[in-house]
Amino acid sequence: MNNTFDFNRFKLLIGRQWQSYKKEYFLIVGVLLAIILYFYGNELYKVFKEGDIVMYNNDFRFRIPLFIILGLLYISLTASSYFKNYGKSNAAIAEILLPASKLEKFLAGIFYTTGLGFITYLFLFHIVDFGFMNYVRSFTTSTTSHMENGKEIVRDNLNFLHKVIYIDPVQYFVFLPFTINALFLLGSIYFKNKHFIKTIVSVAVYGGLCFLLIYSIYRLFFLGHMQLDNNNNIDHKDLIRFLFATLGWTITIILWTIIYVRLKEKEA
Amino acid sequence: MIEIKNLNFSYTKNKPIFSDLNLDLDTGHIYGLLGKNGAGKSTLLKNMIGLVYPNSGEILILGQDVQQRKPSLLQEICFIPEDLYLPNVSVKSYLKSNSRFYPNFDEGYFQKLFAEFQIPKNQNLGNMSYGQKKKFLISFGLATNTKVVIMDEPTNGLDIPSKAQFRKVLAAVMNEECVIVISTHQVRDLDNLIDSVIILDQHRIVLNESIQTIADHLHFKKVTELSQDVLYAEQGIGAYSVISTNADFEDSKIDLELLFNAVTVENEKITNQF
Repeated sequence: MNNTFDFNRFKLLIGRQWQSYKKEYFLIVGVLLAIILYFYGNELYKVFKEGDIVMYNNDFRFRIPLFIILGLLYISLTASSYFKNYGKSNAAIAEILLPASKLEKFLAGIFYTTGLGFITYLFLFHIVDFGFMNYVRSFTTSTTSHMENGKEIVRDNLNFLHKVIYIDPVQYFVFLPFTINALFLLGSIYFKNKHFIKTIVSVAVYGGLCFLLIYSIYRLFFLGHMQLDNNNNIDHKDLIRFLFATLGWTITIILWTIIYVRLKEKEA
Repeated sequence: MIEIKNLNFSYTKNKPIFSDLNLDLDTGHIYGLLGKNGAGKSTLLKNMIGLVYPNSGEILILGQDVQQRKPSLLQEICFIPEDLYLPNVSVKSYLKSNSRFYPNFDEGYFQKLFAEFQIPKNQNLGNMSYGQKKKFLISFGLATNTKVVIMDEPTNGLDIPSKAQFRKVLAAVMNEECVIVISTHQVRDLDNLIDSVIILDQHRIVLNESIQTIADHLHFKKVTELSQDVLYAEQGIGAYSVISTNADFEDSKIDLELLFNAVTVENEKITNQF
């Protein structure tokens, strides 16, 4: 028997988690759907109230902030509750003694909070967006244009979200939801209770300390100095973004590793 | 089957719970782990199955280190804790999602125990009473057919008929390949059930003997007057319950409660008999 990873056991674990998680999952999906529908519905109501989308000057601008804020909230809330049973002594016993390996238990957590979680969110948001925008586009248009290098660039204000959001340089920020997932997943196994609040407080404290450190370094080395070559940043923009993304992924992987180790060492 | 070697354990640095504790438990036995509240019974059981990690020492089950928590070992361990947790799902759903982790799970046997304990079938686990939950977990645990069955205060919360059923069920499930450890402070619940007694007092094992050995060396009886050979006595109504040396190898029914009290009060007098 492979004690590290067995696909059949992993399948059983996914099934077991689903039995206890499905009610919560459908509840979350329901709440998410209600929030998204409310925002889109409210915007559509404003359009009808004004009678003319151009007059109202509406380009459904709320979508990107809503997508990001709701997404971050969703990711953090689902991740911060996944390992909550390990914080309760009696429930932790059942989890620890379940005949599955630590790796399988860890991967099941990643599967539910990133795989299923992310797909559900993206699917829900884009399907609602597609439906609403299709409907709006069927009776009106809204475009703005501007000149760039002597050429007129026309922007479709009622474009579908997936055509607006997944453009350069978004690929450099793909790590962000995973990092947030890893942070809150770690909080859910590290803290015994009030995982969400305690994780937010911890992140704020660590973030503050990092900011202080960076600011101190800046004051120490760069204060009073002037940058002479202004093109440097522009030339190396992609490299800086790449390094930023690499740092993000590295932090995410480190956090996931810590979660795995914590899972191994968890006592009841 | 279960080997504990030089176990040192403490929750806090200054308060050691176990110091150099050694214990060997063999297959084919039902061990009764007795001790007062706070003696360390639950902590010992938790160490035994790798729920907590010792400061030093080694604990092996079936030759495997319990700290590793390998699936191959976990599927041979059934633990019924005192503080129960069951998710708020139906019996059917719980069975479907948990039983398949245990390759020897016998659903027919589970249904038989389920009926015997008279647990309502269509009730959600979350809505069951403490006693019903306990009976459910005992049924599930025994149906897993694991080689190691460990129960922490299993009779707590059981009504009188259920306690009798519990004893009956456990006696029937015993075989030469498995070991059962039952921890309790209600020693009368284990009457006629266990074949070995482990008594834990002040975090030490003060007695670890089979019922047969105890019966060979000690004599339990009721007397009206105390004689010289009495090792321990408790006054009752009109008579003393006593433990004396069994020089004549007479048969007597072991009174576990009396033995427990004797070992905790007159430890040396009793243990010197073995």
